[in-house]
Amino acid sequence: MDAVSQQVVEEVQATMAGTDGIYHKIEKVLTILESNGWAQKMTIQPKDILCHPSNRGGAMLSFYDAWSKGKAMLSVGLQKKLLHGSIAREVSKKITKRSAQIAKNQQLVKDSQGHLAPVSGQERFLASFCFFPISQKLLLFLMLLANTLFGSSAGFLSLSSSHTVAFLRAMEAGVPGPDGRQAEVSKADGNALTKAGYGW
Amino acid sequence: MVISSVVEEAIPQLVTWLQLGMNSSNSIGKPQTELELAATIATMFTQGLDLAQAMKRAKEDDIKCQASLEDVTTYVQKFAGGKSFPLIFFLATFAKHFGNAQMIGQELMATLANMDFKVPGQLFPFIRLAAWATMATGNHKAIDGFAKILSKSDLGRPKSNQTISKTTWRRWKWRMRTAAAP
Repeated sequence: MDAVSQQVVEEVQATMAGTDGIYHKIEKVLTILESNGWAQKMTIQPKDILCHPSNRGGAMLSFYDAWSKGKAMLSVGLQKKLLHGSIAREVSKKITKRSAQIAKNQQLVKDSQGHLAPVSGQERFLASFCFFPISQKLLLFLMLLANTLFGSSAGFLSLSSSHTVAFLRAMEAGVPGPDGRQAEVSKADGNALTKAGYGW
Repeated sequence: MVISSVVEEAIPQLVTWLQLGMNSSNSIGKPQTELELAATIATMFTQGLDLAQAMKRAKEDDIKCQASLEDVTTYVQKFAGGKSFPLIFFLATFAKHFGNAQMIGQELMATLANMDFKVPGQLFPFIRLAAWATMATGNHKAIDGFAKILSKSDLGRPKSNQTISKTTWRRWKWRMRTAAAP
């Protein structure tokens, strides 16, 4: 895949440095990237999303917070519509970078004392297909195929809602929270987010 | 929205900026703690931003510890262990083991960043680090989202005349012993 053109880089950097509110600046940056083919809206399952290693200055996320937020969400009912509009990026296509991104997530899980869902380590660069001109249905088929072949098709790194994703992954994997108990949610409610995924 | 991996290679600062900004715009965001903010500011410094730019970016986030921004920045500049900020990144990694999610509060952050031990030439970065590390274990002892393991008066103890004299005396003896060793 080609590199991002200098014109797009300059346009994004100028927007980031602008004086608009952060909300508007983010929207403008995403519009620039989307109109140039460097970003797109997708429906993704939580199990396909890892945490970006640079989040929170490398701290990534807190398992304690993921569970505390997750349980608060469960107590009022999971609302799929509130989860739309988050941002992720695909895992790197470069093997060394991709391995480092996965290793950081594995370490995060190790440090969580069993309160986060394991990373399979078999992630493939399925996300590479995202920016090929294929239909969403074909992409979903490829994700399903990768899941069948490799056990996981994780190919994305969250830049927002990372704690929510971590909780949903833990909920789906059935690992216990810091209080030693698994998340209590009906199968239908859980599947509506974990199996069906939601819009990014 | 999913962004291509190629974009981060072309604009390395973009992901930190988006991550920070989305805490303001996402209704399910989780505002950063002082320690996460310190690690983010340290990351911005390593990405080439200067102090004014880093503070401007950080102010755009919906950080609960907004009032501590200056103290956090002071800490990162003075006590993070130099150019690559190893002590802050160590602390961030250490805190992950405890699922650290609590803030330490404006008063304690200001004390950590500004307490003066009145020992010429000594900044005592490891005493500050030890205090912050202790606070980072505080999920089990928190009130209203603030870690309550150490108080401001606890932080005052290491810099009391009595403690400092013992510390410097021991340090002096250790130096003498090291110097006398063959």
